[in-house]
Amino acid sequence: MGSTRSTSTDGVGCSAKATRQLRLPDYRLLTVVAALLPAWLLAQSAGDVPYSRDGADTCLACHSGPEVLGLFRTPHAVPTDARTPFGHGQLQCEACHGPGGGHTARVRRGEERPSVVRFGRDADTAASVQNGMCTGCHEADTGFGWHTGPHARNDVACADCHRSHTTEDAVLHASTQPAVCFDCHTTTRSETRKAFTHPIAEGKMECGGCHSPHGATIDEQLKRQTVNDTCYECHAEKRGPWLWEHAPVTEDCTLCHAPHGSNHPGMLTRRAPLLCQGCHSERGHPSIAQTPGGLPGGAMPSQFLLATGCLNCHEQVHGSNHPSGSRLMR
Amino acid sequence: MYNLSRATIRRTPDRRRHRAAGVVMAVVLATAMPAFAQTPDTSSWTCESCPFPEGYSGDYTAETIYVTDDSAYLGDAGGYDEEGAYINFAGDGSYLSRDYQARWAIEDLGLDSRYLAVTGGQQGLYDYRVSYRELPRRQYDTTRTIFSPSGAGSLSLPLGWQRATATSDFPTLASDLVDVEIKSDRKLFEAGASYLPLPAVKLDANYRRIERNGVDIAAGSYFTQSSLLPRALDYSTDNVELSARLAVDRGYLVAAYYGSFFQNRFLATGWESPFVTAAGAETGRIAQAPDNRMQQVSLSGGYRFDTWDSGLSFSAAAGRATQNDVLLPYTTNDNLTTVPLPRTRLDAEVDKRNFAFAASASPLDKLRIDARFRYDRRDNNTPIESWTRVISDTFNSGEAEENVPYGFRRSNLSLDAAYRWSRELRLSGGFRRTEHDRDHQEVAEQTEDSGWGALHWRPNGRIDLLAKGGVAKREIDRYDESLAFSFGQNPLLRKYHLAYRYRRFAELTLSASGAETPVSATLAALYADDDYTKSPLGLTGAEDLRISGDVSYAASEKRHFHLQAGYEDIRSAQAGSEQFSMPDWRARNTDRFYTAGAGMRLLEVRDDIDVTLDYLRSIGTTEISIVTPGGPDAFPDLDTTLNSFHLRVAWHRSPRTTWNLSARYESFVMDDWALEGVQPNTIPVVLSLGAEPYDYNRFVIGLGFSYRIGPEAIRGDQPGYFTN
Repeated sequence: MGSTRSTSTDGVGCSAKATRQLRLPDYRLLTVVAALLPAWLLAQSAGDVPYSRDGADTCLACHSGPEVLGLFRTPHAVPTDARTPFGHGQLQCEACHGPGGGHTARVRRGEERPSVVRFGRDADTAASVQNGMCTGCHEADTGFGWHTGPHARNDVACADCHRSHTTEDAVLHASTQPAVCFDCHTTTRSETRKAFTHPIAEGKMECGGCHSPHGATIDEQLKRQTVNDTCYECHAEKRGPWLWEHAPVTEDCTLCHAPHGSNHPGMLTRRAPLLCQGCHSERGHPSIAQTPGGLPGGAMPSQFLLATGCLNCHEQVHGSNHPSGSRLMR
Repeated sequence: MYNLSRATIRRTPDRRRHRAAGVVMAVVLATAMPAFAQTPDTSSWTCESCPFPEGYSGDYTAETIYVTDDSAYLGDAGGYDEEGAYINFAGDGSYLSRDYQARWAIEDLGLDSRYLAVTGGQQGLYDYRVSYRELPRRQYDTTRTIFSPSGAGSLSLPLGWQRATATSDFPTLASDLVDVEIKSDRKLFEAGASYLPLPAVKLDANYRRIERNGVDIAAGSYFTQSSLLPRALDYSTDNVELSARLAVDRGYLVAAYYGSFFQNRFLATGWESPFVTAAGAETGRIAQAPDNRMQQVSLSGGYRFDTWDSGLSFSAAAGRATQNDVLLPYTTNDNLTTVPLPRTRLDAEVDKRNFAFAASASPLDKLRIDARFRYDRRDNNTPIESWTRVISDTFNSGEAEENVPYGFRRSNLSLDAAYRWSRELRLSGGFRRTEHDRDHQEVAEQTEDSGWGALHWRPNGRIDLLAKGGVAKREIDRYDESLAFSFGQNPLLRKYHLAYRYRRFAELTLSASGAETPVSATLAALYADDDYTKSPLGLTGAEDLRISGDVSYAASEKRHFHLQAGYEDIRSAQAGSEQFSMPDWRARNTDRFYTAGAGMRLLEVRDDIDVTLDYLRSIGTTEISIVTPGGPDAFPDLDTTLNSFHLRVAWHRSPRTTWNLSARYESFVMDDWALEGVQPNTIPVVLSLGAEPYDYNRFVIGLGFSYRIGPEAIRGDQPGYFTN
């Protein structure tokens, strides 16, 4: 198989290489046929080069609608960048869509026009083939573990999220990116509509603010090495290291917080004091069952239930740097 | 970075079958068919019909907005927190030439959520990016306080304040309360640049500064009493990232540096206690977040092999978090004699190591195997000292206690395999082991094993079904009850993240689309059931069910309709003990959440009019019940209900001008017993801020005018995602 891989670095560019690679299986098949029918094959060879005759000019003769023309305002269509499909000497549309010679050739009436590589969720081209065209140039952009990550494992195609023919790729903008992700992650979309959440629905924070969809070292596909490191990127005031640490805080913010949204203020997984009492059972008030009798109108409105609950006193739940702060009250 | 000669096509089974033919091909191609192996001659591909843009273009919108009522909740992040008129400006544009490209965007320029960004450069050689964003945090606008700022982060009582032992006894409270908004602003400034000295090398530098200014809520406690304080915030974080990336044939290597530097203008928040205190304890001081820094270097890379269509990637990072801010004294109470602080600065230091490795291969045509390993460790090297705390600035505890530097080592290994049984069916499964070692905690060693299996069925291009299920068991070596007891904990308590747990989980996703009718639908369900059967106290069980679905219908390229709904049911049960022995009370918490939305996007309703309509309704409900020796009881439900209706109409008056009408109605109602009826003096021992639950319904009406510069817009080139 090594012979089928190009190792040239002649500067022609990745697009041409990737396209040539895609055709190789067909070449193999044709070669077997050629061994049997050399005369027929040689007669075809000159005119059967599978690329179109005039490149993009051929394509645009038919495909000139708005669904295509936006491409020319994107980074893929910069003639002075030799790496791009429309860079000097490149294969233009066929850099990504594969050789279009068959597709652009005349077909007999009633005969189906041969397809090129098509992109998107509804395309008949396999996701792995679509992605092969993209990673032919963008392999290094995929980041850690793309090939073992959940997106690749579930046959998610690059074009399921990215639009290369539109002037603006919605997934690259904070205000529109979540809608793209929520197309598949529908349960997460629901979570972000809870009363207390990050400003995702407002278009002020994108999924990519925390997640690295092209591959990450941890399961949650987070940008940083750990959950906490990801949170600290914006919430560095919670990072410490503190004199008095709160043990679960040092380990995983999601032990107490639901970052996609919660019914409870502060995106807490449960309401205080029950959340706190899941770990604190000391004699005295931490172990006391708080009942509705502590609500306003009851015998004794409770400082453990009302306003900020346990935080009415133990406000430094993320840690304290006060020498007298071992109970997280200073 | 672009890989100049790499061609990555995952081999499909069909290709495998042609392996023998490939050998023949290699020979024959070299002789009989040289034309097939050559890149076509593209010299004549002039692309004369390609509309490469040159010069400036852009769309700019000026808009007047009117908001009919005040609401902190609606203004949170959005910037519409106050009633009244707003003038807004937005737009985006570009300058494109052969050698230089620049793009810019402006959002919400007239609001507190404004955003500006510019990117530019010569693609393939260098680029730069600069952006600025403001993010308003609007927490409460119904709060009241007696405290007023007195400089350097301190808060003072009103003149003539008369102290008492309970909030109901403050004689001048009503007259001394003044409105205070709990709100702050984040300002994010980012700048970055990339340079490609060689096509295979990319150098990247990014800088990000986050500032936060405003007021949040702190608690100033005094023994058994407390005051909620409007604490002043003024801090910033500077993040720096530098990286160099080398793209080689079939692989890449990235070396990176990350630095994050946090600075807080305030070391502490001081306040005057409104309660009667011991002599000398009239003022208190609570520490604010200390200055700290985190620096990390990392090396990561990946490589793809021909053999078995395999690939591997790795990442290794080493970082250090430090904090050496000056320590406050034990107390503000000059009447107390305290031992000297063991050190004036903590010199805290935490080393972090992270290593990850992933590999995938297809040793057989239909089989794919993935392996991932990850290792994290947190070594807390902060000096351990003896501290003798002063309790509430009132009396010396007299007991020395040591700070506990928590650290851990955590690793997980997962092995997954997927077998393509047929063209339509793929079976997969996996195993995962997570090991967790902790310092200074009740559980030193913890192991969790999980296994799962999945079925992925695609009978045709229109139906896609994924069903997955598995179990996970978390075991601990032992729960150190004596250590727990030394912390004052009931030895029967099992902290839920340190406890034995048996988890069952399942997942179902079904997608379908019409063969002829352009309808698509998705249904997704997630379920997890956790049993903590070895936890006498603490969390004893949890259950989580999430279901969501949506339906999209594209009647044409210009008529899109969308429906969606979601439901969640998150339950937990826990036990406690007032007698510090066996469980004598139990509580159940049930969070339910319902959401439903509908939208339509109608382009060219008339030739020049586009209409978009979104509706969203979300309801959150929390039920908490508790059983004590006194009998069962239940709290009132905690409810939130949101209704949002958003209509947008764009009238394309000419190819360059558009009028935009936006009408948004939103109502939000919240029932929360923690806030409802809680006036500043409702809780005898807590002087609260009297925050009220959110409750509003209001309109946001906008009328805008857009003008386009440069080539006419390409209408309909966007896929049109729904915002709701």
